[in-house]
Amino acid sequence: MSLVIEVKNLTKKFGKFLALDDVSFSVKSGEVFGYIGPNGAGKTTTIRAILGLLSPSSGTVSVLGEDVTKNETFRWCIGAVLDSTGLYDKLCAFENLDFYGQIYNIPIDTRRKTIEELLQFVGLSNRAKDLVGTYSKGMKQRLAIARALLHNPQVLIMDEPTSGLDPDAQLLIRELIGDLVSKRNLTVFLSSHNLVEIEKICSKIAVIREGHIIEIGSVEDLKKKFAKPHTEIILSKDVSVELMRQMQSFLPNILVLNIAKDRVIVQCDVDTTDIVKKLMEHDVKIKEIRQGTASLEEVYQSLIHREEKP
Amino acid sequence: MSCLVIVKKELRDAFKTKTIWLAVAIFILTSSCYFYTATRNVEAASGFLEYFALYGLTPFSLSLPAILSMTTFGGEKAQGKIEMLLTTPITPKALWFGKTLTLTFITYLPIVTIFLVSLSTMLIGLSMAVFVSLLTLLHVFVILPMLCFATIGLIGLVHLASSKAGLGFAVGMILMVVAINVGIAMAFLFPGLLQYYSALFAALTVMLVLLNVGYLRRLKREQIVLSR
Repeated sequence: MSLVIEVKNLTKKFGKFLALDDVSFSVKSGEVFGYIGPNGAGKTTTIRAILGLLSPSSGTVSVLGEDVTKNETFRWCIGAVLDSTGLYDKLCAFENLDFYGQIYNIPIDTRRKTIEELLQFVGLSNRAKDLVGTYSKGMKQRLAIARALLHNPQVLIMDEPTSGLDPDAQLLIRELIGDLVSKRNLTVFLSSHNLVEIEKICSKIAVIREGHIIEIGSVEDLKKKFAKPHTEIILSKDVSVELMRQMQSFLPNILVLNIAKDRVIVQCDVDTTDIVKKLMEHDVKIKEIRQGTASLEEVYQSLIHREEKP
Repeated sequence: MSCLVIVKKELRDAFKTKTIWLAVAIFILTSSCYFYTATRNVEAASGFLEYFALYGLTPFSLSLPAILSMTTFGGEKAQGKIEMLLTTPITPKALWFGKTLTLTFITYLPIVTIFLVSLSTMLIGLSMAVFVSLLTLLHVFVILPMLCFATIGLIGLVHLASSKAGLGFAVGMILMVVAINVGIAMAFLFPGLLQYYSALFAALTVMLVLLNVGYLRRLKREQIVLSR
């Protein structure tokens, strides 16, 4: 697969503040690349550099083989969904898309057909003539995705597309992104705080903190590398709350992640038989023991906290 | 080509914006009041039109842009619309030119309308020959549209390149206050030298055009994005 986005030793300084420090990664064609990190880590700065809105202090950013600081033609092949939708509230959905279609010099017949198709795709065809000012945030976000696809780009850059949306709207956007990748073979660069979203749709992720990329890899690889295995212990109903609270002391060197109504989730490297043995010694009745699956959130927490330590 | 797309969109957007209608309405109302009051007290009505064109219309050609560019440049930038546009193939210069051209049209249209209406009213009402000098015509039809364009352009550039939202508005207001005060001072001190007032604004226009050119050459996508 060919490289669609290539960032090499990207450094960006704002005065004395180092926003990005020697950032390097590449995104292959057809890949959904997740970009995660805490607030102020440098995600938006990286996105702006990829979109050619910021010039690097050093290093290079290439999109489809072109250096974005030297050539503007990449703009015809890239679509963007930024943190603010940038839609015109006083224009209807059709007019908003029509305006952007004209910017991309799409001929009028093709433009109208594409707009109708895209509004259908994002589920807004019945609201095409309504002013965008009357739309909900989720609808505006779907329209922003339609606008980003208008000129049939090869790359889609998305900066927190589900931020501030309710769970239903988040699911809808997630499904749309999934469809884009499977049906249109788009390459997607997705920055998000929503780790569930990243885990479900991204094939590769990079974690950024304080301007440094601290880890890159596939979700599965990172889970194997950084998420410790955890065990879910389902207890018998007659185990008292008090006894459950004391369990941490029964299990030295074992991290209790969560104590729920009838279950305890622990993280450990030791054999589960040892845990069972210890619990039985303290009269804790066990109904079932099963291996839990690690989440990206654990990987993220593990990475972020690992880096915090000197 | 891309700036024409901006012009079309801005015009469509402008006629749906209450601020623009309000600003134009205030302008027409105050100009009419000024015109009505002044014609009742001026003995030499034929000469009045020149005073009206120079002292009445000129300050307005500077104040309307300050108000209008608040929405078109400042408001859109704050809402992230400008940043979104900059991700497309449109250049910052084309974006600026398209918006400035539209605002010039919106500003100049009521100015020239009120001038022509005033002229017609005087011709009909006074049933006498109203002398309109070549200088007045030059001022209204050449200097004023250029002044409008240069003022809007400069205020627009300030809005685009500065993070201080009120700065563009302040620049417009300062220009307007200067225009009014210089106008009043000249009318009192040198009443017979109207042409100097016009020449002064021609010079101001040239200066503003040069400022625009200098500023525009340095305008980059990065500058606009970072000053949001």
